[in-house]
Amino acid sequence: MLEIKNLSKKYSGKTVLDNICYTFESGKIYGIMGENGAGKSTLFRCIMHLEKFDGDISVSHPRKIGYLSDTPFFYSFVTGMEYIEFCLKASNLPIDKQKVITLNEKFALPLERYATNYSMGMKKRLMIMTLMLQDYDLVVLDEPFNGLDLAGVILLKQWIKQMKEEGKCIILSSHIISSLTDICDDISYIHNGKTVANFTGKSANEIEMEISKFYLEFSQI
Amino acid sequence: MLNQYIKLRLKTIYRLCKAIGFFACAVILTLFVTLVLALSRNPPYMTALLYVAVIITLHFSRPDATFLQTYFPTSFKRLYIVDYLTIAVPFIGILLTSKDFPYIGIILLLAFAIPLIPKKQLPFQLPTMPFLSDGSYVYQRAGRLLLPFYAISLLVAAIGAYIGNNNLVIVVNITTAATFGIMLCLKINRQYIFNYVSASHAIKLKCKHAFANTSIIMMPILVCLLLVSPSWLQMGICLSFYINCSMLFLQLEMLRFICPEQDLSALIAYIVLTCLFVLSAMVPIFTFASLSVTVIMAFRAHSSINKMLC
Repeated sequence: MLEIKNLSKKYSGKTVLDNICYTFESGKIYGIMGENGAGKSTLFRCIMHLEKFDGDISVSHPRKIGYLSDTPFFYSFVTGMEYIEFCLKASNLPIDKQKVITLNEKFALPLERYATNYSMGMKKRLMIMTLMLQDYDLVVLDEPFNGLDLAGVILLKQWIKQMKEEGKCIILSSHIISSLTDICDDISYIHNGKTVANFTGKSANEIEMEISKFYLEFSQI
Repeated sequence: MLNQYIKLRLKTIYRLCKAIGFFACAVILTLFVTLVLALSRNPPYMTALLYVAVIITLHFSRPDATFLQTYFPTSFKRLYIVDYLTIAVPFIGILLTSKDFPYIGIILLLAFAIPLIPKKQLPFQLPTMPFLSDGSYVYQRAGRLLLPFYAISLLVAAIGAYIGNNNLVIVVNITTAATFGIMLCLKINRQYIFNYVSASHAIKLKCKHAFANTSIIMMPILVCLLLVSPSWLQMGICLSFYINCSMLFLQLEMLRFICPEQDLSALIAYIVLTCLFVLSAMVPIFTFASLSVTVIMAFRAHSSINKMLC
């Protein structure tokens, strides 16, 4: 579905991504973990072509790719409903208010209120709900669990699993190892801009031990 | 696509005006018209330079860049052009009054050219202004973020001094103070408050920061103002600007504690305080009014900090 070949990215001489290669297939959930500054967000931004890069990123045939940024952005004085409508129109999709209301029964967002006044968890939920309404073939989620409340985490996990069943591809990053081991089919670890390990099939505890032993400067606190 | 974007932006502007209220809108419009009138008396390249300063600062600090690029991957630059053309309208209006058509062309060209500049990460961290007080992080942040704007303001002030245009240097003074002022209106982090020994100590520090940092930020522009026509009267005007600007910065720092939620009332207060600054800098007798406001706000902020500390 999506193939990344020899992807490199430098910011003013400093290598952020170093010769990254990946193949993402339909019907699978891919987890990417790494420390802050390891290059996860840059990788995602490259996939979305928000950054220029060296190498090649190819999609098998025209696909709709959705992106959840790690930092929510909303225009001031725009309600949650208007934000959803704007995003749907931008994606050339019809606005089915009843569908939005039905979906919001799960998300419980005050859609008539300005989105900028929402709490962090609500903002994240609004972004996820907007993505859900757009029916993407591939979704890139940058730290989707950050700032999410309990209900939001449950809804997000359910949605990710549902997308997998529908044969879609999901790529996500997280610092919460157990969140990735719970849902991901493939887990890789980025360290200093390189993919250094694949933890597919390992438990959260094993991953934690391995990372602290081989890649972090501390082994015991 | 353009239609939706313009509709959304117009809606937000309408709601902002509605939320601010008729009085505040009238005050802002009056300030705006005064600025336009002051600018229309200056050489046309000043107007073009000011436009460049505004647009470049906006272009490199747009918070909606990723959002627009995600939803409009092929046409987001057109949306930038819409924004920059909208901002160009008053500048073109100023140039139309003096029939400076070549400069109108330059401004239009810039509105189309600046969106094409890629938003690359700088290879170095932007420096902040030197000699700012230690620990005054809001000033240091403002100094770093407003560096391009400040550089162009200094250039315009220097040109104003060179050609002997008092109005131009005064306009630069006011816009620089107002812009730095709004950058100081950061939401306070309540956890930081606990680092202060007491509320009085916090207020004392804020006073020190306001007066010391104003001298660093505003002094080059005030020197330009003095150089326009060196005299004791001009020196008095410079002193009035310095004192009132320091008080504006102090008032805005106090405002952060009085209105910690940074809501609409804080915005209205900012507008009123900026108007008071302009008035008192131009008519020094109003400095006493500004001083009274500063003292009242300091007392209010003192009790707010005390409440947070308890």
